[in-house]
Amino acid sequence: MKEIDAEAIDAIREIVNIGVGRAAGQLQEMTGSHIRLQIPNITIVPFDEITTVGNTLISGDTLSAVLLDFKGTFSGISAVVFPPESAAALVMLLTGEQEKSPELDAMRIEALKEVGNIIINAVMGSIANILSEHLIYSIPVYYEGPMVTLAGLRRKNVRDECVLLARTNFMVEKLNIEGDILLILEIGSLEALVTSINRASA
Amino acid sequence: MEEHQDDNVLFRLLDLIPNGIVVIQSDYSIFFWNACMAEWTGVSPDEAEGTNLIERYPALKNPMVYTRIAQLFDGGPAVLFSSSFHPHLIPCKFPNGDLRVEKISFIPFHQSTGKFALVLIEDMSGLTHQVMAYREMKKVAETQLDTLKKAQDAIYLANKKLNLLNSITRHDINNQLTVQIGYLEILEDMKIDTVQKEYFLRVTNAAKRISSMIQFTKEYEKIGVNAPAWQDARTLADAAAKEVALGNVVVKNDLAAGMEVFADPLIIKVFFNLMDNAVRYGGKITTIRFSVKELAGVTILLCEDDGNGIPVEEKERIFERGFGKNTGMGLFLSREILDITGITITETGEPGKGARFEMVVPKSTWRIAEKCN
Repeated sequence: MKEIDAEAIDAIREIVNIGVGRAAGQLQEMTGSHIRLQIPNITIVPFDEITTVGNTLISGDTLSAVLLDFKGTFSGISAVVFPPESAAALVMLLTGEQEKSPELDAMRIEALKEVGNIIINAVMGSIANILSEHLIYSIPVYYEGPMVTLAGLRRKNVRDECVLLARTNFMVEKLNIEGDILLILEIGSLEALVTSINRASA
Repeated sequence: MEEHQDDNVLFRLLDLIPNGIVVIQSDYSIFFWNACMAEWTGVSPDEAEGTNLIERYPALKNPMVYTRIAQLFDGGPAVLFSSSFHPHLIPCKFPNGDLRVEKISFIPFHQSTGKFALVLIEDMSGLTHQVMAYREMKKVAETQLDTLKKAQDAIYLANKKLNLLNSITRHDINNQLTVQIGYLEILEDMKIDTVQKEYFLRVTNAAKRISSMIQFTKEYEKIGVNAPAWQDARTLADAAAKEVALGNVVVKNDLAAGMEVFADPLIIKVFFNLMDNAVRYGGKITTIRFSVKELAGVTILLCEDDGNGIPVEEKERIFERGFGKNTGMGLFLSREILDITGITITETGEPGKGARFEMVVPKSTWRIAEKCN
């Protein structure tokens, strides 16, 4: 794992925290439940090892994830990932369905995609706004599987590179629904991001 | 001029797409309205273009919807509205007037002339119908499964109680039999005439037969109670042979090692009965042989002997309840035990040359076990 300047980490953590906070607000509004949010964990790690950082959800064998690529001054992937049970429970809660053994069928996946879209847009919208950066985004996609495979499918060219991983775990209190909001930044973008943050805070 | 011509080509292409496509500008005015939208909404491109999309469809004014669309023109990513949460955000109809279930994506793009968004409306009615039908089917299946489970539990409980009742009754009958046999032994020591002796013998034999039947019911009370399991056929034959009073009869076990059959745990009684019957009624018998053969893709377990064989007229009757010289239940129950997992048994030997029992094992109920080492 590479060393990273502590000040830069703090700056990135702060900017991610603002975006994630806004996303949590949206989620709270949708679910009507308090969202417990962890402080974003920022690390630089080889792409293939992103699942080994700490005790994280993303090390699970199967995840339900909504992912979005972005390109611009800085590039990467923004994602919201859930264990499949949490994903199903969240959709059931939001659609008001009641079923003993819910599964993520095509309609529920569409619904989950919208939820992921709201969360990711809140994060990325905040970051882009604060930094006054214009980014180009892909259409959000849904994947199910291990995180490395999923993210690797989106970013084949960075598989051997280091990336900056910002991970924030959230929990919908009383409902036992948890997830991670991830920001995977290409390492070449780090300097541009820090410059952008410094410029915005100047 | 050239750019304008390119736009025309692009828009003509968008008219061919079987999804609703609208292009809006950052003030939400409609820049393009494709042919599919015209068909689905009944609003022509001429009517729609230039008007405000948000004003035209009030559901888009809902703050939870509007704020998200507004982010588009503020540098935000694409916005998705799923059919689960927003089935009719921009009402589109079928020719019969029914509303289509739709999924809408707002995708931002920038041109030199300004900020735009492509609005893609996909008809999800067919998929929604299929998913709903699947969910309904799943619910019915789950309910049926639940009912079956409850019925199974009830049967299990009833069976358990019946077994308890059987056990108590058997115990009581045995007690009375012990008393009866005790008095019979006292009678045997008394001076009785020939006629009385004949009656005495009949009563004694009846008592012994009752005792044997009682023992038999004990041995078979677990039939169908425990779930079928995979069992090694060769081991079954060996284990059952140890329980039979074979005398000078030799058992040759040619069943393949590792061959397993899926059967009721009482299948060992079947192997026992076949050997016990062969020894009891085989007459000149010297050898019993177990083997397996494949015939036209069918697996058959064989139990053959070189005894007297079964007369032609009895080949099927031996499987009837009450037929035979002992309890008359052995082969009847053997057939029942095998039938639990679909195994059939018939007698195909040649009278005078020996008995031959063929157990036809369905494909799904036999396998060759993988070696552990």
